[in-house]
Amino acid sequence: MTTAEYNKCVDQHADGVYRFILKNLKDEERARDIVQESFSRMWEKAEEITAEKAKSYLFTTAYHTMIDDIRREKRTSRLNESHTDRLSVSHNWTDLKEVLQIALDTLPEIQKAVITLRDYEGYSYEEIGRITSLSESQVKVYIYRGRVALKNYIGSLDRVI
Amino acid sequence: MENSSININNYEEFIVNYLDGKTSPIETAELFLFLEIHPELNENIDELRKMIVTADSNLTYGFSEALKLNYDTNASQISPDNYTYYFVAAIEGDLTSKGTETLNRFIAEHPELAKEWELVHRCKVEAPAHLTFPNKESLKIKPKVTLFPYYLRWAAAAASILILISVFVRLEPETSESIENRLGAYEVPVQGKPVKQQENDKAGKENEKSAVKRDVNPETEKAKSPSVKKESAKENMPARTEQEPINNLPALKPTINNAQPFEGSTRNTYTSLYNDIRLSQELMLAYAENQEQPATEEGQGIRLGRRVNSYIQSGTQVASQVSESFGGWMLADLGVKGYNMLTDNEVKLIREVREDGSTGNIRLEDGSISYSLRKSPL
Repeated sequence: MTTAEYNKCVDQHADGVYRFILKNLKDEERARDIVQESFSRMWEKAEEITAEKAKSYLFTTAYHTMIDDIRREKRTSRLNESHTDRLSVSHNWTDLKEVLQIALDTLPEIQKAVITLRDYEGYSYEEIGRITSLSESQVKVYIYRGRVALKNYIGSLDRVI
Repeated sequence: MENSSININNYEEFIVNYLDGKTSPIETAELFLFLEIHPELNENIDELRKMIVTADSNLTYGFSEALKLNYDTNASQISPDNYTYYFVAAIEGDLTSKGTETLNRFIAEHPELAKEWELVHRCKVEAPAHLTFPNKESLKIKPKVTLFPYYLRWAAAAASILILISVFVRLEPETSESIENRLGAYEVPVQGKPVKQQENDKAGKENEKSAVKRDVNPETEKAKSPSVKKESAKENMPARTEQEPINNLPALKPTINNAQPFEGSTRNTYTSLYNDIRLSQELMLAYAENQEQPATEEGQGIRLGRRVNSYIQSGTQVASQVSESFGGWMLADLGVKGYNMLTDNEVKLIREVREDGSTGNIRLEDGSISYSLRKSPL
């Protein structure tokens, strides 16, 4: 990978990686650090990485860095608690997109990660599996369960004004 | 399910099956053993358990079918109990066209599920476009500025060439010793001696030579003879100061047999050398005048003519007697060096004397070749 290809990769994927990490971490400062570290690692291996594989390498590195960061900070999501809390309150949503973003934050880290990779970047099960070190079947199950969790969070379209 | 492949990367799949009650007793035992070995996973397992429990409490189906490859992509088994799986499969693009048609027929047959289908269909999240990485330029690699100017490259190349040249060209001045070894000893004036003393010396030298020949290897004698002559000449040399050799002489062709008058720049060049020639010859003349002159006898002129310093009366006389067609460099070499720098031969001027004492001819002997410089008209 040349310098020009690397800089082009920054233009093309920096925002996507940032959104992916920020959506999972909910911490802008840490998300920026992880994105920066991911690009830094990619540049260190620029001789081994082709431009075609750059995006996959970036998301893989960012994801594992994020998981390490979560484990290091002992930060885990509490889907059941938050989900119950949300459901216990009667919401009147004004925007379905906004509702989905909030619902996404209630998912477990792994479900949130695979769904954002799927919806934000359009990755296939196989590609998500490579990034997250999961099998294709595991990715599929997490996505399916995440979809249903999102549906159940919203409850009904009638609640979205 | 084979339990031999359980590892840190796929243990969640085993746990999901265990929580769904689909693991065999052996697989369950293997799973617990694995968890005992990796107690750090307990927290994640608790999380998975909560997720499964949540899913079980809200879903009528555990999606374990999703673990199977290409499971019912034609939606042939869709029913009011498992339609959620097919709804998700449809928005994920996991159904075939035939499966999509089957799903649409199912929704048409169950209009009460249409809103739920629409809700699932709209549960695809969109990337928040307003979230962008701040200061993206900080991630980019700036092109490196070349700190090595082009002129330094040329300077380096020029320095390299000079170094190479200095290897092959001797920049140090030659010592007089090396010059003598290369060109031979300078011709030096030899003091004139009375004829009788010369004959005695000659006889003595011949005896010495014959004695040397008896002791010396004939093969090496020839090689050593020049140095022997050089040593003998040095022994007879008066105390003198070494004269700097003439350097940078142009490689001119001898013009002895190709008589051409001095013209233009050639004449100017020799004119500039004239003073040097004259000074050197005047010194030689002054030296010769102090020597004892031999008696005049028949043929003596020829013998005496072999002594160069006796015949060259002065640089001015020689220059005036020599034809303009004579190579000036030869004259310069003779006056200054005593040998021809072009041919490395010993050069001598010989004057032929008539009976009346006038100069009949001047011959220049360059090695074994003799050149007639001038003949006086009778």
